[in-house]
Amino acid sequence: MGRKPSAAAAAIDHETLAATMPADLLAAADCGGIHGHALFFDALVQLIPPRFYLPSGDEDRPWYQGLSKAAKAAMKAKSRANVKAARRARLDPSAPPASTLDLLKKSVAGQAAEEEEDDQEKSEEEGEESGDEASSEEDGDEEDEMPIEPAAVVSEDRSVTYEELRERLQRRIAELRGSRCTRPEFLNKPKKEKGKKSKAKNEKKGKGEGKKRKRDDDTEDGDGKDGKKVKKGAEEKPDIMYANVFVDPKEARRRKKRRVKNKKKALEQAKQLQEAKKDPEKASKIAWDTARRRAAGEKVHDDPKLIKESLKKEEKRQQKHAAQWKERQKTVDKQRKEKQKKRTENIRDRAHQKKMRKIEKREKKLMRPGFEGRKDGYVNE
Amino acid sequence: MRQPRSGPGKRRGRGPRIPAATLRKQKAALANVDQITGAKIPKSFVFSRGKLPSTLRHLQQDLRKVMLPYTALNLKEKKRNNLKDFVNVAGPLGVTHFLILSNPKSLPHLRFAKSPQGPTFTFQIEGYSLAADIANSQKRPRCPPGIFQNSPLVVLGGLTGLGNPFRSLVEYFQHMFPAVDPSTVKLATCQRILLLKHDKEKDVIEFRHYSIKLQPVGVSRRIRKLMQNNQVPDLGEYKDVSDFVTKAGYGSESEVDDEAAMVSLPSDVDKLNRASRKSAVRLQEIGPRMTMRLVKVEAGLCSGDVLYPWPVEKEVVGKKGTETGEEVEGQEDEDNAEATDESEDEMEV
Repeated sequence: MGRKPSAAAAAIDHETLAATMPADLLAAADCGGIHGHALFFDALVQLIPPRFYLPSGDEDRPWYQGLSKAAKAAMKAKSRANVKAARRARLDPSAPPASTLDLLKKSVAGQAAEEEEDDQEKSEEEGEESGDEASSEEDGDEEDEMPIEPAAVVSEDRSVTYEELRERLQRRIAELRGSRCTRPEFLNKPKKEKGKKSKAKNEKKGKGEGKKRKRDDDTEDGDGKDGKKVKKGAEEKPDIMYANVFVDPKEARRRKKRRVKNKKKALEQAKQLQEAKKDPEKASKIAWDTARRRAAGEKVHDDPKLIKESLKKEEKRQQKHAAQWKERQKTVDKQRKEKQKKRTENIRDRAHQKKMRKIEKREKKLMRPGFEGRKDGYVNE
Repeated sequence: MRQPRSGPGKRRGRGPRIPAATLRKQKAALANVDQITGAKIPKSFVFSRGKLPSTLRHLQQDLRKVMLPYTALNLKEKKRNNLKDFVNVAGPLGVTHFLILSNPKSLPHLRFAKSPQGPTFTFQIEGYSLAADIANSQKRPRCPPGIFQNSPLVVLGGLTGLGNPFRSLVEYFQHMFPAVDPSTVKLATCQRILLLKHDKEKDVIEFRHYSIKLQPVGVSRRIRKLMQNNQVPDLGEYKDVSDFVTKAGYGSESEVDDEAAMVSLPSDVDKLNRASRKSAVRLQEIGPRMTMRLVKVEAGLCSGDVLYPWPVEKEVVGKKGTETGEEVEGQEDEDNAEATDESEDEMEV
């Protein structure tokens, strides 16, 4: 490049790079050497809008789809305000310039803020920049020695956030584990005597103002209630109880309609219960206990008479079914035999018919006039 | 024209064919089952034994409305029906709770019983008010018919930590209505509250029935009315819409800023009450009001051992009552009532 630097280019100092228009930069790039190359590239960079050139980081861009309506509206308003501010700043003659180069330098300078060597240059530049024809003013840039090491910066950031992420993960796991409750889903079809599983979730939080929320009080009556005791912070425990709410899944399973597996066993137990009732002090306790359980909906089988009755009913039912089965079997057998008989008869008949037909045919030949058919004995008899 | 359905042939991956009768039974069973606990939905009969004066008949109808929707609103009973008839009918229908009104010796009694063999709690009604009276006493009675489509929520007060009769009473009341899961319940279905408060000094139970109304807090009255009525307001005297919207009307008279009554809703309830906004919970009384005193607890359905007033032998023997002095007092009070109860028993069945 043996171009002669133009006079205008020579007038421009090497340091007043910031905020100069690309054209000037290009012109200045005519001075040869590395500096010229640097100026050339600066001109190019200046042409690229800062939005595309500088890394902005993912944290600046929220995921819009996941926000609630209010948050989305807020973001929209904010972005509109941002756009307006950016436009004003762009066209404002007195504002500090925000060209790509400047921003780049700013970001780099931010990294290298500790470096002391820039201070003196800064003061020098500020002095010289005052006479700049372009619209730039204080631009505090420590521009030379741009240790552009975005890669290093990012990796440092990343290692920090990795730890942080891990920690958050642990916290989240602990939280989930604490509030976990294995809840089997409610089936679509109620299988007859099992599998009616309850869909009960844990109560997540106990809000203080929970009048709408039903929560349990301290004294539980043994019914399946809130696993977590929720106490109001500073208030004394209110003397209020609510209706049958959250059911602990285990309790629900225990309480479910368990078909009495062995009625005989139940009979024995009931008999023993009767004996125990004779004992006066336990009697009332037992009586209250059964009354409470019955009030709560559980079926208590304590009357041996009823259990005996149901045992008998079951026996009778079973006998009836057995009799019906025998009936059925008999009918089936009978029908089968009949069918077979009919079939064999038909076959026999058919064979017989065939024979008869043959004889008939044979005899037909001998029905000549003057001849009366086959005779057994001799002709003269 | 092609037929849209291909008839009973194809099941398209739904599994083996189920006969229609079984399907019907399954559906019926499902309708009977409470979705949360998997247990049956408790249903009730409210009826009376013996002759009742007309006000008690109104009370009976009011009680039926309280127990809606799982009760027989138009249950017809005849004089010749026994308790046994009711029990026999209740079995197939899945009815588990009976509320029996009676008027022995001109003292109204209400019995809460559990159907097949359950305990019976007999209360003497010391005072009552009908729903119509309460509506007449209010300036703006409010009883929209839609609130009876869901069961009421039950709130029990003053019954914690008490001894035996009240413990089973608590269980009874808690299981009188289907269960409510607070984390999945739709807030729009919680429209009524049944409050049973136990007064310790007087040893009575107060029975109250309220309807729940949610009002958004922080919305001016005009805007709220506008949203509720959906009618175009008359803007004749205003120069500008802003005048209409910001006109300083005084808040409603009950706009007491009671922090306890405001809740932050977890989900949308209706157009006005949105999720995570504050709403004020307003209760307005509907339904009957009763003051009841527990006089008898029996182990069977109006039969069986008498559990509560404690059997007299215990007192005579001087056995140290496991209950507090309150029970003993109750015993003395109930001695008078017991005489009447015995005769009442003879009238029944």
